[in-house]
Amino acid sequence: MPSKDTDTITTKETAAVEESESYQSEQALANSYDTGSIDRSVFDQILEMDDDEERDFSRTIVFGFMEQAEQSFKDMEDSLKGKDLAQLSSLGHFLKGSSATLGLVKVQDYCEKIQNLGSDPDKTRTTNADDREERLAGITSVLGEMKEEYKCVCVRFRKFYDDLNGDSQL
Amino acid sequence: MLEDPTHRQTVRWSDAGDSFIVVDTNEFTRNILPNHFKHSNFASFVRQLNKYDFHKIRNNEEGGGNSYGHQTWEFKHPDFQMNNVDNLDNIKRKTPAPRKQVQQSEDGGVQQIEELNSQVQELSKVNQEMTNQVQRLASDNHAVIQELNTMQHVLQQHEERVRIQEEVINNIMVYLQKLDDEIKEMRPVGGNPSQKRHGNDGRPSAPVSPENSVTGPATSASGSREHLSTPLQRAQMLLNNHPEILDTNPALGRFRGLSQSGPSGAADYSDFGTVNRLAQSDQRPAELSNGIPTIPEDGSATFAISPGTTMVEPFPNGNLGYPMHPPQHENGNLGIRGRPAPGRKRSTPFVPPNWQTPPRVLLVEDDPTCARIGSKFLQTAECSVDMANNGLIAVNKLNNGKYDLVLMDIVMPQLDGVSAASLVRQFDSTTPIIAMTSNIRRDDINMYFNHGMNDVLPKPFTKEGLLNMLEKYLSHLKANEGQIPPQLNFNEHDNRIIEEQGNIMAKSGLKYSEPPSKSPQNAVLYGRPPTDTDGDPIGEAPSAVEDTAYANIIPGYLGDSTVPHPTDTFPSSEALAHGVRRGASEMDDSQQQLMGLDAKKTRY
Repeated sequence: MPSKDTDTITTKETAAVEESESYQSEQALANSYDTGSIDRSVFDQILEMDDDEERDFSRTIVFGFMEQAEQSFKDMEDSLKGKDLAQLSSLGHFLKGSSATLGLVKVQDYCEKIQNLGSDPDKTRTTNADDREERLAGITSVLGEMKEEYKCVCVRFRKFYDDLNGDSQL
Repeated sequence: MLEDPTHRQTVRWSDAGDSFIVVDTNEFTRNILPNHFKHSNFASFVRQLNKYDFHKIRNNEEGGGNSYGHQTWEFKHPDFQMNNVDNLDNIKRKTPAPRKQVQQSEDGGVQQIEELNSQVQELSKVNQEMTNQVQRLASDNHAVIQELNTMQHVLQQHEERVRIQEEVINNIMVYLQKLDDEIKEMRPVGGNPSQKRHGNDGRPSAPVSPENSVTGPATSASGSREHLSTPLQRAQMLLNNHPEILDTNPALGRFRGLSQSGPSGAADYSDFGTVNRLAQSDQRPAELSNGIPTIPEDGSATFAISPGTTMVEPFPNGNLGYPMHPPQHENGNLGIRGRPAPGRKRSTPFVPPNWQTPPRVLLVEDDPTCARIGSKFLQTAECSVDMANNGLIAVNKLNNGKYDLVLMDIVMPQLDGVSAASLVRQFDSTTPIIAMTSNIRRDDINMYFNHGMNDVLPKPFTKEGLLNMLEKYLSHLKANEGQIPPQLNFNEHDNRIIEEQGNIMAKSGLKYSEPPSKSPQNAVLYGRPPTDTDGDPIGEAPSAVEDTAYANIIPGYLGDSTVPHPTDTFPSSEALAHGVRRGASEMDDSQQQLMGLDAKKTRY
């Protein structure tokens, strides 16, 4: 195992070592890739930006995202109570951007669904009360699924950053 | 019947033959009517006659002209004449219930008129629309022609520039060739003493080069011996660098294709250089041991070779603005290969472009996650990043300061990116504005372009996508392309033309929009860019030029690159023509798209 304080080791090398040696812990991560939760190529780009072994940069990003996501979930629930479809659409779009940037493709997809369900391109459909209710119900169910998905991703992220000293991968 | 003489006393033609006379109504009613008419009633008969538009001629009863007798009735109809049977067909019963009939026909007339009126209105509406469309098309066409003229102008300028560069390269190569010949003549006498010397003491080239520059090119035989190959090889590297740069940056825009004419000409010389290099390949190790390997330890050493290049200063190229080129290229290569690169410990494929000065990039993004990552990307690309978290702040910042590039989110609070871009374009028509968004449907993209944005970077953006944008829009800030700002020129020129035309943003959208999206690189951009980082050509290319593999790579470049053969000494005209054609076809496409949009708008 490469010692952490050897600053001659480049991350690329480290990554290579991790890829070859810690295959099993990789496997856990790979599961989340396999299930399509995380687009690795996107997230790896963020990991590459880390300047230090503590991964301060990506850690800040990821935990910032978690805060943002949880706040967004709350806002979405509030908007659902207020039946504010436009606001739901906007919230969906907002979270879609950041989840996409982290490569959380499933969360991104859910967000897009919410954005679309909430959006009202014709400005006519909102007048239909049944249609509104239908779409609010749709958003409620998508939000539920998204929170489940988020929890899975969240657990992986936390584990990854908590175990950093233990040399684990995401 | 009227001719029948037996009825003569009862009913007969008048003398003139244009009317008939009932002489004796009583007799007529009694004897004749029952045979032809269902009522034996003279009044009824008269009524029927009236219905068929027969008129009673009244003057019989007045005055003394009553030539036919007191009780005679004379009836007349214009078409009822003796000996004229054909006209009988014209005698028609007035349609039954004549009063009602008239009303109906009047109503029908009104309806018809209304119908016709509305038809006319519709037609004139359609006509109006068609006229408008024709006008639009005409103005579009006008704009296209203008742009085409501009392009031709730019092409000419560029051709001129390329020709000058070509001359410079030619001069350099001729001179190097001369030096080469000289050293070949000297070699049998001098052997390789200096090579040994440098190989032994391992002195870096830095102290040696100035010495060479002092001794001068023509007279220095021993001093510049091992360096004589250096300028040549440097030139080769430079020349080979060109196709490489172009190969890795196909997204540089439509006009960048033109610059291929430069390197293509250059490649001819590098081919010629390869031959020379083979002839003196024994000298290459000397150069390697002296120069490049020792440089990475000392960042400043990258400049050490420059004096070696100034050795060629007797060239007239100093006047042509070319002299700094070779050292800069060399510098760039060495920097990428060996410079310790403070702050970047790893050898990621994310190789920052070699900026002359850090580009000032304004990142407009309301999402903190995207903003953080975006700014980090940009910082890694050695840009100076400024942030704005909504469109309003961005517009203010752009109004107060100068930026080289704007990356603009679309959906933002306060002021969205599209509106912000429109506002910015009112006072700044040049700074490239790139839409960063996940809404990249065709309509969306067209809208961005129509509001003065120059390109689209799909979210989530990748470092390749970002780097492509930097290459595409900031290449004039790169150290090794500092003296070829064709894009800048084009933009300024083009914008001036467009301003002269008094055209609106839509035109600049037209100008900027389509060509990039047609380039193969952008086709990738709109999808998810390939994420095979190992294949990143930008990162790979410089490091691929390993010293040992160098000789092998040159032929590869020559083979791979689209460069024409040495026989084609000045292929630029062909390339230019190609560029024009490409531009034209792109224009067609954009035109079609605009037409499509218009058609959508005008549909009712």
